[in-house]
Amino acid sequence: MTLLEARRIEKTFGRTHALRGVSVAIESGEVVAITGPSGSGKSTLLHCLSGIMCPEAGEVHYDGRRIDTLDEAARTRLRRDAFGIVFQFGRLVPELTAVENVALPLLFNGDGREKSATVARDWLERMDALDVADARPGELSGGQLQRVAMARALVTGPKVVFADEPTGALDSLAGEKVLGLLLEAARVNGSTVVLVTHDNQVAAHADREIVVRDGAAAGVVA
Amino acid sequence: MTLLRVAGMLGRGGSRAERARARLVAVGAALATWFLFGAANVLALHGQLDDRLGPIANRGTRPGTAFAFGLMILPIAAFLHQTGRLASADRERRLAALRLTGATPAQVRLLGALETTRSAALGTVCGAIAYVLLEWSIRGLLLHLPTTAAGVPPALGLAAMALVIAVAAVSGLLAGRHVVTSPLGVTRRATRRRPGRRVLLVPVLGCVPMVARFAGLPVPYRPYSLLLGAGLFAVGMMLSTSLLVWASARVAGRRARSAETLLAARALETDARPWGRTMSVLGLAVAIGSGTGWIEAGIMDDRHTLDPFWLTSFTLVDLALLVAMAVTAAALLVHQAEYLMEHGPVLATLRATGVADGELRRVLLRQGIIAAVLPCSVAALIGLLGLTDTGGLHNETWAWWPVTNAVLMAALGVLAATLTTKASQRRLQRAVSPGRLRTE
Amino acid sequence: MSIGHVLLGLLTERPKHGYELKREHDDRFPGVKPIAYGQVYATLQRLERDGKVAVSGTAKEGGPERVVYEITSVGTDEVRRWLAEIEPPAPYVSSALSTRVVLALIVGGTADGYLLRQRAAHLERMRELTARKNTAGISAGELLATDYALHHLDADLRWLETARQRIGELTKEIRP
Ligand SMILES: Nc1ncnc2c1ncn2[C@@H]1O[C@H](COP(=O)(O)OP(=O)(O)OP(=O)(O)O)[C@@H](O)[C@H]1O
Ligand SMILES: [Mg+2]
Repeated sequence: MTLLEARRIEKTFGRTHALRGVSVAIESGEVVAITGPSGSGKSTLLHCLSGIMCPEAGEVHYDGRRIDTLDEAARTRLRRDAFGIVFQFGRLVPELTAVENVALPLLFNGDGREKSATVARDWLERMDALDVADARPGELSGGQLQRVAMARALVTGPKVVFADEPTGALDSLAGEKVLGLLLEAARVNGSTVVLVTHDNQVAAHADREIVVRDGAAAGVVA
Repeated sequence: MTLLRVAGMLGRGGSRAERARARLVAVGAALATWFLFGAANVLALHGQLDDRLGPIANRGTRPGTAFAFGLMILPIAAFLHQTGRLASADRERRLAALRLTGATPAQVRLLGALETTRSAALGTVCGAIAYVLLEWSIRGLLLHLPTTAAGVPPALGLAAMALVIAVAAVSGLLAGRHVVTSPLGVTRRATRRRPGRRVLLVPVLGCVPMVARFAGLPVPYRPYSLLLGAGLFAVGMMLSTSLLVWASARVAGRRARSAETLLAARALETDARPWGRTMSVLGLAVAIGSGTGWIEAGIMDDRHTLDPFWLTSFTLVDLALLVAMAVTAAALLVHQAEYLMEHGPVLATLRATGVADGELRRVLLRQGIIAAVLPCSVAALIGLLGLTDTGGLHNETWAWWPVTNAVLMAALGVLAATLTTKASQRRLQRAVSPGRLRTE
Repeated sequence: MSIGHVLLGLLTERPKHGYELKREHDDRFPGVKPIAYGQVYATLQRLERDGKVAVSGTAKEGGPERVVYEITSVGTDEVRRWLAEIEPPAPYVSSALSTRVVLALIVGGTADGYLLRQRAAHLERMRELTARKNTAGISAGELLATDYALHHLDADLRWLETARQRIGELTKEIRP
């Protein structure tokens, strides 16, 4: 079943035509890698698929519902309830400890402080980062930061996990370890994973690759 | 001097934010100059004037009025300092290129200070010219007084201008402290020092003469020892405000049940000093405001009416307090701009993960509330307590006047702090736009 | 590198017979083509002739009687000397991939289709290898060999991408 689909979407920034009619369809439960050279529009595609941005033309559908025409509030709800997002540099809140960072989405959902902390610790353990639970982001290594960021993305049990260069700042072994943890957790959760990367070895972890070139899908390679 | 030439070159190449900051510094310096000129002007008046001019009319109250004008420099200094800090990281990033070309850290810091000083000097000169022109026209056109005698004695005026520029220069040097510039780039100091606890000794020391008097112990050198004690207490309380802010942030962070409170409290806890600085000035305004309530109550109780002299005086005081609060609120606004700039990518990420704009706005709002409530309440209480013994009212109901006044002032202080967050909304919107997800 | 060096290296542990050497070779170097027993036998004969190994006895474990070889001091010196050298960093300029790109341009005028197909094939192979790496109980030796293969395929893929970006220049050169 197709869970997430973009139909001929276009997006421009000033004079830059970042997306020129990309179409992709992502099945439920699948791990898809979006690859392509620098500046080809991978991140922009991810932002459109995840409802962070709206394309100027074309349609984005999630779970049988058109999402690019929803207003900001509705898309925010969708991102909060159904999606989890990981970025290249973790982007944790610097003043909060690792557990508090992971617990943040639950707190925003109105769960109590204790309950969220317990669940957050659980996820840190699954991400092999329980030892840094009480450290602040400034004290963590790149790999630890990403583990915490992934725990934060997964803690709400999202249907789709989006990751933009999640291992971009890590060396190949650390990246592989972190990626393995993410994919394993997503598999257990039954989450679909959309992985933006320009690292072929990362792409090889996916079931399928979508190559983006100059803002268009250059052939979907199964 | 080459450094000056480099500073000039850099000044022309600044970003929009930097030009805005330079303008803010200039405005602050101009305001400071205005108030100092006002003080000098009052001191320079001769003889008895119309009672409707309030405290300016009497020879006896003029030094006090001049002092009050001088006090107005405090909120402006806070404002100037905050503006100096704004975008300091941004500016230093630009200056990091200079480090690559071999400039020493001290030279880079000096350059930063030079930029601030230049803007301040510009504002001071403009402010001085505007003041003198306005004063001349009021004298000549409205009051038909001779315009030859300058209102502000030139020596005092020049001294005031020098003072403003010097304050700006020092603040510029201090602002550079927060940034560590290495040839490869800029990092903000990761762990910010938490406010020291030893400053609490100062207000405690200030209390000693007063407590001794209440306890009936002999207090030597009265009333100077009492005055000194009160002064120490006031200054000490102002110095301790950062600690107060830090403490309430810590407690709020521990007990936070919502994500918004947690985020607000922790941000405040790590960077309590700028809030503390501005809150100390806001607190002073609140304390003075609630203190004047007693004096007002005393006079109303005594005479059942306010003559023009007192009416003008109180109106002037209230006006001054409002201006002080507004300037302080502006300083907070500037600080929040800095917070948003620093946290832009992180907040944009939170928003991307599904945190609503309203929730982010609440984080800002709660920062203001957590920071303001304790210092403003303490200040209002101090304003009430400090003058209890001047009471002895005939009609007890007048006692409600200062109490209401104090509550009002405290509320106004908190309101000023929270209103700034409202004003930060558009900036927040820009700070969390998806484009910020790309920066690092 | 030669089979001789590999066998000498394995013999430094202890004396072994020919079949044992074949089995250990295939176990320890999982990415390499399995060695034929005949080749082991011939190589051992040559090493014995050169004085690098010597017969130390016979062994019989259930099966037929087997000749056990041990390494001599000449052989040990030879292995150490060889280990002190490095592999020549060969420039693999004439690989089949680049030949195909050039031929595709000459014959069909475009290599885009080929490049995408080749990328898909390479990535498919990488996916298989990655999956194998993730199977439980994989040995460290096999992991290392798989990583080696993965990194080489990755290098090919990066070259393919560069080739795609340079194809314009190449086309101009081939069909001016
Ligand atoms: N907010 C923006 N403002 C201006 N231009 C943008 C913006 N976002 C993207 N672009 C432009 O759109 C194009 C595609 O950008 P995008 O970030 O999607 O590429 P990418 O494939 O993710 O690249 P990379 O691998 O370097 O991350 C680029 O040319 C970029 O400059
Ligand atoms: Mg990108």
